[in-house]
Amino acid sequence: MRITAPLDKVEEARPLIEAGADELYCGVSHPGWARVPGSPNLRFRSGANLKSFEELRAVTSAASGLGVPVLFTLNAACHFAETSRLALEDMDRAAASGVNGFIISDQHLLAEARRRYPDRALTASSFCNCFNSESGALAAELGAGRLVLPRDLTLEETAKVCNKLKEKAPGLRLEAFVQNITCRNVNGYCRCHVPMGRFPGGWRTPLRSLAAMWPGLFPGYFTAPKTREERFSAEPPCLMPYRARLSGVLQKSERTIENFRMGEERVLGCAACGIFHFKRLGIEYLKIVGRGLPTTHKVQDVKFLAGLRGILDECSEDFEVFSKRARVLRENIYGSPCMPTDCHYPCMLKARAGERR
Amino acid sequence: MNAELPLERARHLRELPGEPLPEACSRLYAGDDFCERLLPEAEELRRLAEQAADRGLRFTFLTPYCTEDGMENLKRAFGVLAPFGCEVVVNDPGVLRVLNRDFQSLTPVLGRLYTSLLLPPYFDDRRVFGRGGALRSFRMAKLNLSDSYFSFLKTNRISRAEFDNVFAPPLFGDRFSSEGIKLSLYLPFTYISTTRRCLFAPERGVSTKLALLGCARGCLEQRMLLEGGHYPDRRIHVIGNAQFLKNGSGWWAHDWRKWGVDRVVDFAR
Repeated sequence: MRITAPLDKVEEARPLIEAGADELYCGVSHPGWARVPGSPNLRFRSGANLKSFEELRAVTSAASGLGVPVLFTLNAACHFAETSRLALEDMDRAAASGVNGFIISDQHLLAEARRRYPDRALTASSFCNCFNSESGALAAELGAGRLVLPRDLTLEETAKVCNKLKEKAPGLRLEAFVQNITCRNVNGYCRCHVPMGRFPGGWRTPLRSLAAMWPGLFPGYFTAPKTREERFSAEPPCLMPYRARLSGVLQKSERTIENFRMGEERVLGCAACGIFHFKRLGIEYLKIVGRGLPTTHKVQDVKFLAGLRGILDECSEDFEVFSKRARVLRENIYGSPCMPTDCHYPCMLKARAGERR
Repeated sequence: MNAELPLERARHLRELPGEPLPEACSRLYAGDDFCERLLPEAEELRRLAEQAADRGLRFTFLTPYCTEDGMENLKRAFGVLAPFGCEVVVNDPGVLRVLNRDFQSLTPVLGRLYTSLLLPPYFDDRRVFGRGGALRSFRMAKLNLSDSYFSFLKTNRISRAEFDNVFAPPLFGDRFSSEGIKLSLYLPFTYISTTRRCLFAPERGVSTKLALLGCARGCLEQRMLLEGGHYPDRRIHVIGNAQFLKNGSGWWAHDWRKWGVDRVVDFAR
């Protein structure tokens, strides 16, 4: 199994590869995107991308010298004419910068990338929403050689999709998320991706929210957060605290929950123990989420997965042994114990809860 | 688009009530566009389609994004509905593939999970567009959908697209109607996001992750309202496994026909 690591700074390439990354993925944000509706990828802001194609070329040079491929992320839907045109331009510039492949969710872009670059690796992003083998097979028909499975599937559901895909799209390689999985909402169907800031009430609120999404269309309305406090508050609506009022429909009852968040559960989810099952299912690529996270965090994640791979080679028959050694490794690398609440997969969460009783 | 023709009124219901529907309602929507666990069984669906036909109502089946198990259930449902030749609202690329390959008698309709990512959820706001500036900015910014988008629709036999009430039709002008694609508008809710870790599925105090393992349809008995946060003057409605804003009919209701909308769906999830 190969480790696919995120990157957003040129200087991260070498430490990530030395830690054990087999592949890097990144995006580029540039001023051209401020003039069209949409974005090149769904981590457009928050320092999650390289700043130019010159930086991308530096990354591909460093990585190719060490024999590691670099994938370029273009995972936003590009339904608008201007957006689609700019995405194709970026694709060409990335190809000229030496990337080895693309991560794409838009069906048209996927087909066009296959036509323009038949020799590059094409990955259908998790934003393709392939919850079943039919949609996976469709991605393969459009030209994808690899599919990132949605993180919202259980292990049992993942197994069913993988097994069916072996029949329907035998050449399709599979990738699964393993680290830093956070939000409870379905990524590919969510309208909360862009940090919009916490604005006071009044008529400017929705307008400034739109401006945060497409600043080029509303010059002067959106100001990027500058202070630490502003940055903290510039979160998507799903991460903001709400007062939740839960009420019965049939029976009259009501209770209130303060500081409820409709998206993230404030824990970086870990699906690392899932690799024990992924190996049996034929999932070849392990994806780390984390563009925008500190370099030290990214390196720790890669080291952890590289270590887990080693453990799996030694005990691929007994999950209990694998899981216990994985927890020790995690504590050694991150300096904090593995908590049941970190478990991404509900079956593991349930098993851990049972252990504690 | 002929602005004089009446709008088709449709209503989303889990089951047909004994009493007659409002006179204007001429179409029944059944199924669910967010959760595969809320879909009716195939036989229940057949009964609904027959009842609708008996009462002179046209029939549309709403389908969600779905797992491998959900897809098998949907294939059974499509088999039952195929003789009725009804519409199927599609929100999953795999479902669209199955319909086009195996069920040509059913008419695929582009669901709002597909169209929603075109625009954010608060686009109906009069305070934004009532002042003129924002709408003008968007039109000047060439908010036009690409040819490849319409090519995708035509390749997949799509002749109708469904939107939440987010002011989409005026923003896109006559682009849809010039391509022969009709538009539906959902009222009153506009969806923000959806989850498979449903808040109403697990026991209290237990992580919502466990919702993935099973569900007792608790969402049919509970609702949640979120106040404050990003929308200080609006409440978020958590209904089942999705979150919504309530946009109402919108201030541009008198213009619906003009912008290519020929159907309004009363969504009662």
